[in-house]
Amino acid sequence: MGAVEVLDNLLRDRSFKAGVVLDELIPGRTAAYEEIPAGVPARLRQTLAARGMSRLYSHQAEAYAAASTGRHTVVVTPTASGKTLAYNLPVLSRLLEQPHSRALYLFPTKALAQDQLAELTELCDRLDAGIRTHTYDGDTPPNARSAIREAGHVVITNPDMLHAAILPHHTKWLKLFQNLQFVVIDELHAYRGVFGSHLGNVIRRLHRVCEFYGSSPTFVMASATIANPGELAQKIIERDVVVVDRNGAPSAPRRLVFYNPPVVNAELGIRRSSLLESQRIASAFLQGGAQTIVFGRSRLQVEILLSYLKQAHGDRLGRSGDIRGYRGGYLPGQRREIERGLRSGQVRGVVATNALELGIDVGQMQAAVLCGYPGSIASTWQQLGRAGRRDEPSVGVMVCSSNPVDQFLATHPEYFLSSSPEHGLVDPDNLLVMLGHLQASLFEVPFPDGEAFGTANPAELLQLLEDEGQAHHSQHRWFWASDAFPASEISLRSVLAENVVIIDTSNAASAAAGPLPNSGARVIGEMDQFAAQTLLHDQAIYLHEGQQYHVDRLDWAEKKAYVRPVNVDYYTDADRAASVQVLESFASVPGDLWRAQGEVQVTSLATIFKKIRYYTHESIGAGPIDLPQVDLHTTSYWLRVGEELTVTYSRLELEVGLQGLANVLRHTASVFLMCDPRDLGVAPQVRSPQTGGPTIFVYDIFPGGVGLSPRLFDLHDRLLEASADLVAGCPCANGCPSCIGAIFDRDVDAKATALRLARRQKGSIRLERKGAAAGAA
Amino acid sequence: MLLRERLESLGRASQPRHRPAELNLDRLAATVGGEVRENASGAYVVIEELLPLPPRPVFDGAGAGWLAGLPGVELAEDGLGFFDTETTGLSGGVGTSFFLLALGRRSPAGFLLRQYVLPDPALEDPFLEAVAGDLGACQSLVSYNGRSFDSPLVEGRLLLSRRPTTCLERPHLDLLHPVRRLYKARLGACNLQNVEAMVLGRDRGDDIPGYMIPEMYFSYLRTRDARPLNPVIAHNRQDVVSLSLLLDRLMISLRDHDAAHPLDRFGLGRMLEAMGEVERAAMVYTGLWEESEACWNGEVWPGNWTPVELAYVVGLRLATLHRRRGAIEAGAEIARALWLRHPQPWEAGIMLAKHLEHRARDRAAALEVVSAALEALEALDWRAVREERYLADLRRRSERLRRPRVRAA
Repeated sequence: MGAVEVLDNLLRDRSFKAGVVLDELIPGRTAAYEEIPAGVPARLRQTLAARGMSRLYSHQAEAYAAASTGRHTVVVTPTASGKTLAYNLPVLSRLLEQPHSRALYLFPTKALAQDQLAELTELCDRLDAGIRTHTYDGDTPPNARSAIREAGHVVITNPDMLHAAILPHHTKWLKLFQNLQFVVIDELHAYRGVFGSHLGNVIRRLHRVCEFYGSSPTFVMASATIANPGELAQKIIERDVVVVDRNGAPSAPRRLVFYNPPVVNAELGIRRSSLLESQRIASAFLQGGAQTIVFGRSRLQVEILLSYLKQAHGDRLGRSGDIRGYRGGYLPGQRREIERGLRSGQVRGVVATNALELGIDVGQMQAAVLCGYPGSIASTWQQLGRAGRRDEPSVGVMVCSSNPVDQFLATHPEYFLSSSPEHGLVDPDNLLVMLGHLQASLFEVPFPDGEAFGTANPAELLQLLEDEGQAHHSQHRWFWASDAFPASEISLRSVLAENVVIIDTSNAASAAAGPLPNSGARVIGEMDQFAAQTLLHDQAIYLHEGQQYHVDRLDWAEKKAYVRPVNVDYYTDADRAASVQVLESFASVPGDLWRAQGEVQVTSLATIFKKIRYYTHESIGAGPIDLPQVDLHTTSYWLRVGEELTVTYSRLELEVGLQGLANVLRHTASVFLMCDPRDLGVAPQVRSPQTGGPTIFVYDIFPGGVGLSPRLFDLHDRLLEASADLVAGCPCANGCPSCIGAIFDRDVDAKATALRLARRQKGSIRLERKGAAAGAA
Repeated sequence: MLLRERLESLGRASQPRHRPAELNLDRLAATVGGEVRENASGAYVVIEELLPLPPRPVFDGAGAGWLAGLPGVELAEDGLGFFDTETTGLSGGVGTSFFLLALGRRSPAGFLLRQYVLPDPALEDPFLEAVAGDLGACQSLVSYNGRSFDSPLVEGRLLLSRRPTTCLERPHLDLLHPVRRLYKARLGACNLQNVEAMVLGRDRGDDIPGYMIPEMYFSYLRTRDARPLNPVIAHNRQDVVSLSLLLDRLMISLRDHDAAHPLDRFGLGRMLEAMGEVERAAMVYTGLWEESEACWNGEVWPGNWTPVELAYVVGLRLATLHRRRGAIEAGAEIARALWLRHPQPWEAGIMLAKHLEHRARDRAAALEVVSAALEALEALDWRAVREERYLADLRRRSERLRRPRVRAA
């Protein structure tokens, strides 16, 4: 049975059918081919022909044309459309023509780098032209390193290694930098927010080192479909970029289904567990014989789904190896074995985390089941793209969880289907981020007076470093003048400032009991102080790479959080009492709902936390948080209710309505900004002393901001529209955690009030029962 | 808002402020007791001194070549360049540079010592040109840990200044490695200061601690007051003078096998072994072996070694060398002595059993030794974990010796 037949069978079940909120046939596309360009060397042409490629897809040819003539290029294409060839083709062509030239490939993770190595090595072996490709990362054995530095034609690494191990030692990489012709950045859309802002600065440093050695490489980038790939690429490399976004790869038709589990408690808006529903649907595909991939959002989900599916199908098929797990933490050998099994068809089902989402080649499945929205539309398409064979229609099912964002998409799939609303945003000029990299860059190459750092003018910052005794100015040049190694003080995944260090104590405990020597306490990450207050307080459940950790103790004085892995069915959510002071308003537009953006100082106090059960979102406990107040200087977008409107609301209505709308805004904003809702903070104020009226602030939670809030200002109307849509589409009675959050007040209909506030923009508000009373007052 | 305030409000701690002063080469030279010189790239500061060379052994060029890891290469004494750098940090990377380099050469007139001082990062070019020229004039280089530290650092700076690195491409005798071989058993830590004190018997007095050196230079850069550099310059000078003395000391040890302490002589034996000088190594070990029977009783030694342990290990080495040289009986005799004398003689037992089984053809005696060793080892219980390889070997051996011998038909 094909996947489509299984789906049609499922749809005969009335209760299933009732939950289907989208059933869309996405038509297939025929390939747009072009001849292999004349510039591709004969040897490469023959190798491609031997692999059955006598023509190129149009986007590959377009990318080649741009990149091989030295234009910086970003290729925007879906999964399985041959994007790796789009950058390998110009690179290998050049390497064949000029054997001294070099290329640097950047991937966001080590696993992806390994994967690319496998593919490229195979191609190079067939070419048999002595092109050497290597990965260079923390796992590279020390004795192999010097050979890679000297002789690797293609060095495959990640931004963290480039930042901390390659650039600060660039004289050891003389050959690479003198002959660097291409820099490839794959999965560009992964570099957004803090990570992207750091990468922008690492690229500034790379530009300076290349300039020092007289090279000027061409950047070839690949991105999933987002709203602004060209802008993102341009912001990161700070050069003009050619955008190649017409996909020439063929695809078979695909049925796309959004399934929203039925409501089991209308009052609280509780739906049946998306995990159980995903299991049920995946089982149906497997039983029908369709090769299926299931995506869970965390390691925990993957393990649960896997054990259930193994149980359900191991007996029937008599072979437990038919269904496999696939996530971060598996050894490369294991992964290769699973991938082979999938390609040969021996493995019938695979349950994966998003480790598989980014470009790893496992062949093509017949069905994909997504347990919950993966967090961004780009990721969703990448996961769905895992199903889709050329010769038969495939099926993708997304099972919505009761998270607000999932529910938003369940009720408004048109956001998903229309052109992508997601923006990859970065701000390489974030002062703290830039200052750290300026130090690293000064360490790498002295700055002549007047030299820019990217688009930024570093003069004032260099002067500051000199005042602090880290830089030395002499004869019109700035020199590094400290015994520190600045790159080691920057983690690309967080903003500089005094962070809270997260320490896993689980191994330390076992070391005390057993005969093993050195204590095994292990630092697993860092978090800025502001976020730590609500995410790392005592008794918080902290999620790290899909693993749950319980925070045993947060030592605020020492800025250390001691955690241990646990396996629980709840998460914690902390409340923050925040007051916002506007430091500077950059722009504002009056209206019924004013909008503005600028710099703010957020003073915040974490107050209490709740334990909330997964899936049902019921509160199963709470506790106080005892931490001092912290200040955050960041960028914010805010909206203020205009005066004519304000007078029509009672104070209680405003309080409840603003709170509800603020909760919704945080979630809808996260859709447009492709970020985690927790990257944003909200502060509703019935009467803000700053704006003089009822105001909602939505701010970047990273010190200094990473570009999120200015974009919210631009997206104001769409944001409010989407928020209104989310609230209106939620089937709950008076508001629930899936829309405005759990706000219960007997006297006010919080849901209706928040909706009215959100819609005021369109002028469609009509005062109703309670509103009329307030309006008359 | 001022930049500083902005950064503070973003959560970055405030730092003290400094104000730079004007560069003055003549004042620098005067303060450190050097002079300003010019080359094609500009001005630099050098301190030059001619020191008397102490009485020393006849130079063994081949031995020096061997110490440099280049057996068969003969180094000339007047071609040696003893050098050492002082740097702006220990973390490495292209932002770390050296601001002081001492280079000492032996000549008929004495020990000619030049110390090059970097007056300012902006004047690195003439500084490097002078340094590279002087290093390049040497036939070979002598350093302490220079192979992994100083030499790559100098190379990096030359590359950054777009200069050739040929001045470093010559035989490099890094004394750290032979010193480790010879003295590690006794000294533990082999940093140059410790070696000076324990091997050369020299006391540095109040030497500046290494970790303070970068700050002394940065302090000079900020204030242009070069007085803080003087202790660094003295330290650097001392390092190079010691290098020369240390090389003499090593040569004497190699020539005369006269190291004072048994642990040092053990190190010498191992070094001779590594050189392939089996006969000379055997001589050193034999001396130690005979001495051990007579006069080490009750001695307390520095480091982790006890006389009993050293005697055991020396015995094992000597027995092995005897066997290799064909002195089968002499080897067996030592193995037997070790077997009887040492409290945990597993390795000696195996050696003896091998001899009994394969040479003496006395399977019963071999089995007796193996069984006794096995019994004692197994009685150690969990403490035998560290001896696992012996346990496995003995069990295999015991099993084979117990099997009736099958003769090929």
